[in-house]
Amino acid sequence: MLEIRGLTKYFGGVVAVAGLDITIKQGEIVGLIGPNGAGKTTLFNLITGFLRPTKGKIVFEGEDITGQKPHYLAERGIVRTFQLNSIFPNFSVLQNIVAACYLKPKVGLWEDAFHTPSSRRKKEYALSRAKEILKFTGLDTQEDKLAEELSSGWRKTLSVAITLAANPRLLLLDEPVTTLDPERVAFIMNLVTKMRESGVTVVVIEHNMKAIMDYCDRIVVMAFGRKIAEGSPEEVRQNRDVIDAYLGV
Amino acid sequence: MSRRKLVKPLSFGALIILLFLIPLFVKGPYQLHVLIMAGIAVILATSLRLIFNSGELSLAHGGMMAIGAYTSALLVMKLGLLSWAALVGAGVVAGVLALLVGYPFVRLHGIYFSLVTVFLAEVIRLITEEWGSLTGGYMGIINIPKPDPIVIPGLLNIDFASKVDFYYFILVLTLVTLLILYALERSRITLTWFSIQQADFLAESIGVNTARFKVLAFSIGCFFAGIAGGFYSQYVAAITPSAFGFVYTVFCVVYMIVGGRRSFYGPIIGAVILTFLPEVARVLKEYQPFVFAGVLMLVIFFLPEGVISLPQRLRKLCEKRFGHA
Amino acid sequence: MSGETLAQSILNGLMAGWIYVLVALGLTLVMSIMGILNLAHGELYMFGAYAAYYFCVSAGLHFLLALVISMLLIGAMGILLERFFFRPFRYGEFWPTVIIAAGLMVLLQTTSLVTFGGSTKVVTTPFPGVITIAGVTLSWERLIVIIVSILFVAGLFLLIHRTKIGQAMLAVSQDLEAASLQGVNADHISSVAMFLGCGLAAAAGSLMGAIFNLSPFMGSFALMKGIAVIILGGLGSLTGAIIGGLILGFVDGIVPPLLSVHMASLIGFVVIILILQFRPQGIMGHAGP
Repeated sequence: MLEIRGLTKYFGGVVAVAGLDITIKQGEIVGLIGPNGAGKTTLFNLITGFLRPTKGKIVFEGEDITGQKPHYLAERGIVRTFQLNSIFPNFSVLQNIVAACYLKPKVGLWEDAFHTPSSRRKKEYALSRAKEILKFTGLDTQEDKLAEELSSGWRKTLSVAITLAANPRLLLLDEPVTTLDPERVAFIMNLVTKMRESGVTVVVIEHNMKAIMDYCDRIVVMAFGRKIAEGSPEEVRQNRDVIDAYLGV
Repeated sequence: MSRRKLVKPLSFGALIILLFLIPLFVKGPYQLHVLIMAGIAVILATSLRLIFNSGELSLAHGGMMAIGAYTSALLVMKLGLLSWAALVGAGVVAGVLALLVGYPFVRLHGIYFSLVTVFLAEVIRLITEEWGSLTGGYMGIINIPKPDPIVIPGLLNIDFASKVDFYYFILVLTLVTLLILYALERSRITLTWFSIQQADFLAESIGVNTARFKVLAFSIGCFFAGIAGGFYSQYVAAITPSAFGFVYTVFCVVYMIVGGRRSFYGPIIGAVILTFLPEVARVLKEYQPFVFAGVLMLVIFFLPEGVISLPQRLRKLCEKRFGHA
Repeated sequence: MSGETLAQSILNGLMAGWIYVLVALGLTLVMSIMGILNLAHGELYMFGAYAAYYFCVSAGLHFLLALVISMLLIGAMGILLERFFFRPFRYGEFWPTVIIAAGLMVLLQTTSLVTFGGSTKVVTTPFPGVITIAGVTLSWERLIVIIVSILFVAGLFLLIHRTKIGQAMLAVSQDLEAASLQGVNADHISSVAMFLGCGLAAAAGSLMGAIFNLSPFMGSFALMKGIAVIILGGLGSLTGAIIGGLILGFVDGIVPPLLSVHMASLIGFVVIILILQFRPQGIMGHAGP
């Protein structure tokens, strides 16, 4: 589904990512781990168009998407979360999701400005869709709460709910459960699993090893901008290079 | 319809009727002038807020007003257009200019965007000063014709000879502007703008073309600034480059912030209050700007959400002191 | 154009350029380190000019001494402004600072109008006379302005690159959060940045005031030039401020005698607008904080 070939990114003289070759297959949940500074978030930024690669190619479902803008990629189905603040703080929980339904339903500018019947229908659809998503993610009881007043556990849940609204085919989650307690971790990872069951491919950056090991089909390990290992959780757990990379930092 | 639902439209209706009746009580040309300036201020402040809703603080509003004023004057005086067409033209030219510079501008974030808008306004000012053959240079343009008369035989004959006619003109213009802006406020476009304002990277990641939306807000906001400028030139009949200096832009920002940037009604209140305030402080003559700047500082430090948040704040204060009602 | 006029024009251009550089450096220091667009920068430039004038003319001090005192005074003023007006808004959105700066601009300009009156003050140059090099006559005052400006700029760069506090400022300008995590004291850095920024503005104003006239309105000219230089030379870049300032100064010096003052402004704009179109962050700048 997603093919990354020879991806390289320089920031001035610093190499953030070097010669990465990664393949993501449809329907997988792939864990992306590695010590801090390994280039994981940079990789996400490159895939989703927030950064332009210095070298290399990114191909999504046969289309070369290297250097495309994030909103274009979102329309193609590539959606991501951000490590911090992946919510709209001044919106209510419900408004967050309604706003995130931007792509579905797509309301044209003119019909929206003139409040045509079709735009009103679409808005109702967005509202009902948002409520469904809130129910699915367990946020429905807090739908009128201001997003910035949510606890960190619910915030992270909201950020996943936002991606749901954006109708992803490939979902990139940046530390969705870091610092959360085990119950919340299980809750969110279960959501992710359910999303996979409806056809979403997922890549997860995480430091919470238990979450990675329990829920990922496959793991890719990065360090110093390079891929140093990949394989099933068991394989990676016993890999010498991986152990060295983590201990060495 | 239940009684509650009627309260809002009824009170607005009453207010509008009151506004139309004002010239019956207020006859002095100076008082009417202040009211007219308040109308202009409302259009400027609310259109600035539109741009602000998309996450950008434009400091070019004074310049866009200048564009509108000069465009309208020139369209009427050099091309002989009807004043109504010239008015629309004023807005269109401003909006199109914003569209042209918009895309490079929105590639800059936050304070840097504001910076280049300052520069844009400065360029506009210098062009009006230096392109003498077109704009009359430092002396500006004088003897700008009044708006074309509105004649409905037997019913209406408005020749804009008196200030009252201009008052009604700006009243209608302001109401129409507010109507359009309110319709936008309730639309999904504004929801998207707010999402960009709060977290533009997140909006971008869920499919919003943030650049396009920001440019759209900028263009629409500048369009209305141009309209305000067009009206202004038809009203005061003489315009100079210095009339639209950076200070004017600062006024627009102040109206919006002091009134309340988060609410649709905030800029309206801010514009009205702060147009009347200098009149109150007029006795202080050259010390007047101190009052203005002073009010500004007070609001920013103690009431950052603006005057419109005052009732809320007071309520919270009372609840703290006396417990819930 | 004769060789003499050409040389004079180049001198004028260099002088204007270095003054623009001083103004722009002050403005961009504050902007990149504190994230504040100091709209009052022009007024500090103006106060610097008046201060130097009064220390020189009324107190009878040598101009260069008056210049230094003016810089220290305005720099100290900057520290106070930072402490009371800008610091409360350091974290969070940037627009309250724009309002505050605008308010300060109005306050300072009105203070000046009320204190000094609205008319222009004509100044007699503290450095009369000319020097002849290679058969070309150059005025001392312009040369001295250039030399003094270069000295200040060099001093600034030494400060930034050779001292701990300078390095800290550099770190903060690139990433405030990371820098404060590494123990950089944001309060100190902001005070220093403001002191330097306002001091540079005062220097520029004093030097300019010594050559031309003083007026309570001279500030807005400086502010707009500073902004133009930053946009051209690069947002957030000190080297860019130098490059941009010299380019614009050169244009303002060379073009008027060759063509006209109008053309100078026009060329200046066209260059900047081209930059905005093709590289909005300026020659050496980055696109955002």
